[in-house]
Amino acid sequence: MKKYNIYLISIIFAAFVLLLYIPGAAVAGKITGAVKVKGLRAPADILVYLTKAPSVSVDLSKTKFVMDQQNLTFLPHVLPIPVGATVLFPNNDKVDHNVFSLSRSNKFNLGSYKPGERKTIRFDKPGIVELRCDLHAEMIAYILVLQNLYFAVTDAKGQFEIPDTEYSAKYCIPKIENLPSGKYTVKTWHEKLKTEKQEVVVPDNGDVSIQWNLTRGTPGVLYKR
Amino acid sequence: MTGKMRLKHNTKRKRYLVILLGLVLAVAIPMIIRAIPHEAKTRVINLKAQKYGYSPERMVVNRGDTLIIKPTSLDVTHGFYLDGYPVEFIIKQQGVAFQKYSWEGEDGKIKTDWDKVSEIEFTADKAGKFIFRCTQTCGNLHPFMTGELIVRPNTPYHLMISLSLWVVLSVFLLYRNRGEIEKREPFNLFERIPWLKRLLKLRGFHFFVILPNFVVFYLFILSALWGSPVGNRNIAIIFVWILWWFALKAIVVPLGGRLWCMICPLPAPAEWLGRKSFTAVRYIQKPFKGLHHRFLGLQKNWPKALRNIWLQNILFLSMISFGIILITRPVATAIVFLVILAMTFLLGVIFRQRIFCLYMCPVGGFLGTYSSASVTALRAVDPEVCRKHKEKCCYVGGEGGWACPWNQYIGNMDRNNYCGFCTECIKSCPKDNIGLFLRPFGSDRVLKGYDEMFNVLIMLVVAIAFSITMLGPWGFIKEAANVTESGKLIPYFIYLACIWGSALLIFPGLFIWIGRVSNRLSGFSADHRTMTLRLSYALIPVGIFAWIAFSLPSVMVNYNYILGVLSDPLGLGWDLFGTADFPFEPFYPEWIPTIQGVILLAGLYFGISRGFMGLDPLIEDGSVKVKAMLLPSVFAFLVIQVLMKLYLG
Repeated sequence: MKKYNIYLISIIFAAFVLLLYIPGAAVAGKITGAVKVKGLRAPADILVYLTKAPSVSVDLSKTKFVMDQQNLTFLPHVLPIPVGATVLFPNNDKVDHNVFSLSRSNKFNLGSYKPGERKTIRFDKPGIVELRCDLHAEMIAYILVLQNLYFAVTDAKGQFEIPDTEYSAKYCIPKIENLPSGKYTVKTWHEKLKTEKQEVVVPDNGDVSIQWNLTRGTPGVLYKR
Repeated sequence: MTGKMRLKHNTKRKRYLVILLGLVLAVAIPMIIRAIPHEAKTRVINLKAQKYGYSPERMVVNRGDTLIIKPTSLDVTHGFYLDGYPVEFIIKQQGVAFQKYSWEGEDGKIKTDWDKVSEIEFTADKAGKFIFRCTQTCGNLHPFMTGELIVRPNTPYHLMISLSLWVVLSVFLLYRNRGEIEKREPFNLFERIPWLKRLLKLRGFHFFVILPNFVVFYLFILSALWGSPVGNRNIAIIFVWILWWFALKAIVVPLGGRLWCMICPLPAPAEWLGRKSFTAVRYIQKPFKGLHHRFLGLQKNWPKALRNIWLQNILFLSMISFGIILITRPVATAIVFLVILAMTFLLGVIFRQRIFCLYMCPVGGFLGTYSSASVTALRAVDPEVCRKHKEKCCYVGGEGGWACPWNQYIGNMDRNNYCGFCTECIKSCPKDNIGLFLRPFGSDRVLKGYDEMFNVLIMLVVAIAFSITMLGPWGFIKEAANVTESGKLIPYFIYLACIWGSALLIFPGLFIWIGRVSNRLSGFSADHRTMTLRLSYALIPVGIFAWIAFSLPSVMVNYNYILGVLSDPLGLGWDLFGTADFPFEPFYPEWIPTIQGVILLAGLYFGISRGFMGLDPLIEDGSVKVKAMLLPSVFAFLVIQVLMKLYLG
């Protein structure tokens, strides 16, 4: 009986220690910040991402990445996705569209399709995918295929948060854990801005905030070969 | 100081005190309205652009409101440039827009780019009236495609209304007993600047001032015929209807009267042909009375019944009936010039003198009436010398100069109306009795016939009509006026009926009634005709300043077109001075309504004050003058209020 009590106490203690550990892990490791820009109408749609991050295994089969076509516009303008994700291209416009990409990493042409129709593409290589429409020269959007899930896109005020819980919810990505403490390289990408990078140290417990001042220029690639 | 003088001094002080108090009140009231707090809202506006207007054409919001504009075009690509706000975008079909934004680059230069958007958000933090304009050449009437954003409280407008009331009050206080002010000695420019007289006496002077103008004008005709059919890309349209028109109204007429007639190249060839000479004068000694020159042609006299400006009034109304077509189609402008040129030849061959200029030129009519207000005048220095001089060389011609082409005898000429500034009398006068006088604005103060009064009223009506058609935001009125493109005859005839009816019936009818009532109120100080004509002089300064206010935006907004056509005069893609693609960037456009308001205030001041001064020979008593000027002042005030509503409200 006594032996049984000792086991019970040990289990409760172990559970207690474990409980202490888990919330601790959940609190640490968010990178938040704001971007200021010279040369854009608003500091929105700027990708902020980690070049290297702990690998997280996520079931991509349940994700729903969508690049919509409405009013002669791709929506959203910038869509970051993890490698291996599939993107849906519905034509919700009043006219036909022909989506294609000439990007080296992901070259494709969906052909002309009618309003109401939809097509899908799986992106297996990381890199920048510039989307165009063969029928409407002014239509342009970017799918950014990334090696990990630690990224965010700035809002209209230039603010971001990595990992981005709103983004995960929107595209049905299972919850992503906060970053473990450590040193990371954070980079930016926007089609009209010079790419910048910063070294960031995520402390053992708590968030880290960073600020960017970006200027107009030609962006670099997402990952160096 | 005697008791009477002290009393006079005290009344004067009281008068100025009232005027000062009035000014304080006039400024304070709009400021109090401005200080009333209000709640800021977010307003979503679905903006539709269609040739040549926006819907809604007027957006009325409160200061501090956030506006979300969702634009779309129903036909071609249009633009949206908002005066006074950093908001500019291009509007395409199906709700697609490209918003302009700018930033300072690393080299310190301002750079711009466009972003594809579906809505444009901004905060209306500045109060007043702001015009938004199309920036993409979308068709013939593109320069007139505008809309209005009114951000309440519209303090500039309120301020101008209260200031115009203050101006009327002040003029009534200051001018009813103007007899107190001494008359100044006339200022003869020839005495002060002797070389000016020597210059004007040169036989070749007139020819050499016409010559460059002549060359340029006929190049404009060629450009209008063979250059770009797009108005804002053709030098003829831009230089004639923007630059010349503004310079004529705002500078030449108020300063020099009919100075334009001196350098007008259109009737010059007919005159040279008639004289068979460019510069020389061919004098013939005659023992009897008559012209001392022989001209080519039949030399008939113009019929007496037509020696007035009725024909000009009708021709001017006819010309402005196609106003918006004339100023946007280069070919139409060329046709008008060529018709004028042909008419000058035809009339020059049949009749004596400058019959076209005097009785038919559509521009000449108002140049005549408006020049009566100008600050310069050509007059006899001593009329007694003229009276005693039997030969009257100025009128019949002399050894030094041709007989007056304008049928004027300067010896008793007391108004500028029909003096074309050709300077022949200066050259022909053997007594050296001609002077060029500087005088206060609005000095002639006499209209001599109903034809002149009608001209003044027609000019007022057309200023209002053009302000509505060309500066207003109403696309359907532009479409009605633009009949050759829209092809809709009924709206066009309604449009014409409004203008002709107002110009020939409503305004003159009302003013003749005002003249009669005012004469009765003043105790029948004169016969009705004399009184009405005297009172209508008040509308000449009002009209001049109304036209300046109307013409101002065309220069401040469209000056970039002037630079553009200088580099590419025919619209053939040249770039002579590197300014062909000068961007559309109006010059301080947010200040235009306020400047227009100030110009209109000046018109009101000069109008009513000159009205009072015009009554001096008829009425002595100040209180009687006040009674006579009451209704004409209300009329002038209301005309100014209509224009203020159009420009600022």
